[in-house]
Amino acid sequence: MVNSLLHVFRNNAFGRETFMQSLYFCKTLDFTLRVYIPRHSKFLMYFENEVTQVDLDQSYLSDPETAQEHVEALAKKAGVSVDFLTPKDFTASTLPDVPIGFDCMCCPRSMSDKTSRIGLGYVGPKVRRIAVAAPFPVLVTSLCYKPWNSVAVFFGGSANAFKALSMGLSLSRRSGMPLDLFTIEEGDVNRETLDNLLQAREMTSVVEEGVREWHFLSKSKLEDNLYEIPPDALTVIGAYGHGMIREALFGSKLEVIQSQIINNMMIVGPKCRVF
Amino acid sequence: MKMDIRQAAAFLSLPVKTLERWIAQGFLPVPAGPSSAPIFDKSWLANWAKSKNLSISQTCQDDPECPAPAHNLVQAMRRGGVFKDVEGGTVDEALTQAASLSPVAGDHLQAFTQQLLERERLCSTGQGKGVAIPHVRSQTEDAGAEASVTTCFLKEPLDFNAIDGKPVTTLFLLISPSVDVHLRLLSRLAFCLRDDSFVEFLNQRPTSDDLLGKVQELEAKVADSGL
Amino acid sequence: MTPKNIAGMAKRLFFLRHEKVALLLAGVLVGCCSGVAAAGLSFAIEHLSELCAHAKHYWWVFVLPGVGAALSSLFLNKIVREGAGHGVPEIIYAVSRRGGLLRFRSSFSRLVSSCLTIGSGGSAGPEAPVVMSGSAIGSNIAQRLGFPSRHRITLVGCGAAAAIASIFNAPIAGIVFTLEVVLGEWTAVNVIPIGVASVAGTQVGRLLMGNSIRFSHAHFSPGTWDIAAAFGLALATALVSVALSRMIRSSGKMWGKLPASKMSRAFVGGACVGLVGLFFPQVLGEGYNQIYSLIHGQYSPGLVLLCAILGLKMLVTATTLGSGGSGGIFAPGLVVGSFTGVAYFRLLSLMVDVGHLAPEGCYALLGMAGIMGGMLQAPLTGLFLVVDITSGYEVILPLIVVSLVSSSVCRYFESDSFYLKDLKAEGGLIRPGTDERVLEDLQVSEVLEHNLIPLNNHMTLADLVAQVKSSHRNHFPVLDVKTNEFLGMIDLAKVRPYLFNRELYGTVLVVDIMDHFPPAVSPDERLTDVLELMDRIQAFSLPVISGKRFLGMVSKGTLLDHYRRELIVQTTY
Repeated sequence: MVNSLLHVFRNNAFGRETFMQSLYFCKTLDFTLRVYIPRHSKFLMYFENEVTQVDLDQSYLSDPETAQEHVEALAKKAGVSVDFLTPKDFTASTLPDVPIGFDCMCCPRSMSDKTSRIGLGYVGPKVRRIAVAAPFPVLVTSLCYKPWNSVAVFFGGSANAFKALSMGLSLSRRSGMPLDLFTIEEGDVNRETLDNLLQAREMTSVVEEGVREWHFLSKSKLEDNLYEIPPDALTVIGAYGHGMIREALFGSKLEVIQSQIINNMMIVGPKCRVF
Repeated sequence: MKMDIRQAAAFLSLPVKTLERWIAQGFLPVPAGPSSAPIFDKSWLANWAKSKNLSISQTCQDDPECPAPAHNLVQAMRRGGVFKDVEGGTVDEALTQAASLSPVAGDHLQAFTQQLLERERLCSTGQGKGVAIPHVRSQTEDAGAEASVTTCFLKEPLDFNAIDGKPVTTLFLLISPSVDVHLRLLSRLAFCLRDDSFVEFLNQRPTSDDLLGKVQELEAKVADSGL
Repeated sequence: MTPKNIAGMAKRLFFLRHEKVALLLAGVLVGCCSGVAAAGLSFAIEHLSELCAHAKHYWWVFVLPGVGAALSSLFLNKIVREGAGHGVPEIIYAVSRRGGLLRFRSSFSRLVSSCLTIGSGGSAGPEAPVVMSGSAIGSNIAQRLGFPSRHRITLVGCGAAAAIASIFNAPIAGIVFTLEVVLGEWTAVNVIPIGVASVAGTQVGRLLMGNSIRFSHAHFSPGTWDIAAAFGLALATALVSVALSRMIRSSGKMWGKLPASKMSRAFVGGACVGLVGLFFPQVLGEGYNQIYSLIHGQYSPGLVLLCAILGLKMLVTATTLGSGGSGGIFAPGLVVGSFTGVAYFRLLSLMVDVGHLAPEGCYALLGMAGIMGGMLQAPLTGLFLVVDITSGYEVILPLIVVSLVSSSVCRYFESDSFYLKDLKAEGGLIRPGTDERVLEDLQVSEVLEHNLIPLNNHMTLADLVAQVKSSHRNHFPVLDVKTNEFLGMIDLAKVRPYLFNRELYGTVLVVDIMDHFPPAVSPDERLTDVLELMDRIQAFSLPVISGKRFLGMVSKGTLLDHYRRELIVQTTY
């Protein structure tokens, strides 16, 4: 099966870094690349049970004449073939619908106001909503182009963490890169309980074969543990569909992790299909 | 029996995407609303499929009681048996004799023999090199569901009106349940006969085990070539 | 029948009932919310216009509609970033193509913006915005409660029905409008929740705004001659509705060409409306007071002035909506309709003796139904709306004549109603029970055939012949041996002569005999387009290409299989 990645192209220096990241991803995992060059300041994505409006900032619309050239030149250099996406359907005349039949989507890194806005545009606050609603994982890139040579999965034993684990295994298999597991020990999350969970899902042998090393991080503060993550790893994290209120009260591990490490991250939502 | 969505899709021979969409649209009811991992009950799903006129997959991949129908030549020849010194002064006699040796038995035998003779009258089944492959024109459903090839070494060489005019010494009586199997067995047999050393070997009237061993050897080559 | 079977059946029955009960309850909830939205908007418009009325002695009063329209445009485009004009077509689009998914922001954005436009004096109706809000509320409630899309569409309908029901105090009109215009389908599954929602919406509206039939105490007893006269009125309303539809559309295009920001466009448009309003204050706002006095025969201006006001009202409505004000065509349509009716009556009275006819108020009612039937091409909606808002069936006979004739005459000039014209042109309208509906739901990825054997560009004719033996198909994709990119297609029908030419086996490469640029489709193509392409080039199957990668093929045979299955599954309940 041929998989594809959707990239919303931004025609400036930051956008180039993000795009190179997508190119690297496609090259490594043998994905095809679908590029959407926005012509309007917003677009809609209709998911199964939700519609998400993405408001782009003006930098996405700047200089559309050279955008296509830039994409083609970069793709040619990387040896990846691109296919441009032209929306066929419009909810309103200036509101195109972007289809969702992809296996991954690349978004610039901005998940909340915790991270600084520099060069991030407005896709940011929407990234989480897309990740939660989408049938595909979201690739959140580091600020500048950063190839990865291994895969690191955050695994805490929840249903979504299992999804992240399967995704990590698949990524590692397809790219031929080693996979490391990272578990942050807290409460009843430890080797024993997780082993039992794996056994219950008949995944013990798969994990033994596919995982290079399983790290258990036990420092009390989440942030202090993150030094252990290899700097050149693609991190895979499960995301939950927590409500806004719960998020505001308790915060989110995902937010902390993404604000502390600059690796590329793949966010695996609850509705995500593993490729 | 419980099934997840992939198994359910295979059960209904539909793409998983179609089932997912039907769940999202509400055409395929799932007990707990559209959740990410619906579980179906097999009999319930069968009933639902019936109410919607959907066909249920007939393949039995996970069912050990349903053996895969293998149609290779060696098995068919083993089923048909190898017989030496088959009597018969004329073609008709030889064929009647061969038919009686084949797995076709009881009431069907007479009708089968009749068909065999009729077929022979239309056009000789003599393949040349002293070999004939008598077979029936229409597929006899009652002859049994399994294919068989009955090998008969004739006592006296017979004039079969073969294409090369040589008298026939060996009969391969071919019985097959379908056109598909018929063509496959026929082509494999023809492949073996193309090999002159095999014809030579036949003329030595080998024993059943030797013959099947040789055919197995040759058939392995055919399988490689994709026939 | 074993006990197990019975238990299974009971479970299933309970589940089905459970699902329907849930839908019904959600319908009530949607209806109530929608009713509150309607009451809120009419309350807000009333107070805002009162506030604006204080300023009517100042010379600058004419800029008020401009300011209102500009603010409403600012709110829509910059604050909530809605990015859309009309509400109803968007709902129909969502119902047709998107399983009834509407954005949360739509559930309040139009309320605020239309309140600003209409309250400040713009000529537009509050109904479409309320319908939009109600539908969006219905959609979002369905999303939160996890209803499947089939029921989500019903709940969108519930919201729309309750909105119309509540703002007009007209429950039947709400149901009919939804089934006729929004959903385009009457089924038992739809009607029940929609009816319940309509009742809930009306009742909430009555509790909040009081149970007043808008134009009650208008009693007429039309006779045979009135039915005859109704045919003439139907022609008149048909012409007026075509004119109004075209004016609004061309006004939108004209304003769109102005080299100015959306906000300043709305301001200028609003100010123009305000200028007209300085001399003819009757044309401002939603205009229900005009209708009231027309129905009750208390409208004094003569025929010429009446016609002038009619024309101005149309112009002002087109300007308000075209320049970027926010609102619907329902109320202006009704006002224009009642003016048309009265004008027709007075014209008639110049030519014949109108002593046998019903009074002119009756013709105002008929005119309203005629315009609704003409513009929306929804005769039943206009019919029941008038019946509901006058709470009487006395005029039903000429009413039926006017709305039916007007709507069929309009069809000659405009193939589709005001709401649907653009939508249909863009392929956004798909009604239930049509061929398109089934094809829309099926995706290329679902009907994709994978059982093809790929060749590569280093292969010779001999390799092709070898593969022909093991494939069931007549097509062989040729892929690049290194990059796996799709290079072309071999169609056995075209290369058959070479297949038996053994001399060529080693010397001819498959790339020599393949089709280099075969017509292909992408995986996100709509199946209607795929079939159209197949018909045009007379192909039976087409390769599916994403980027430069070969995914599989679509063929008419497989498509028919899936099509039938889809039709059966969707139409048997």
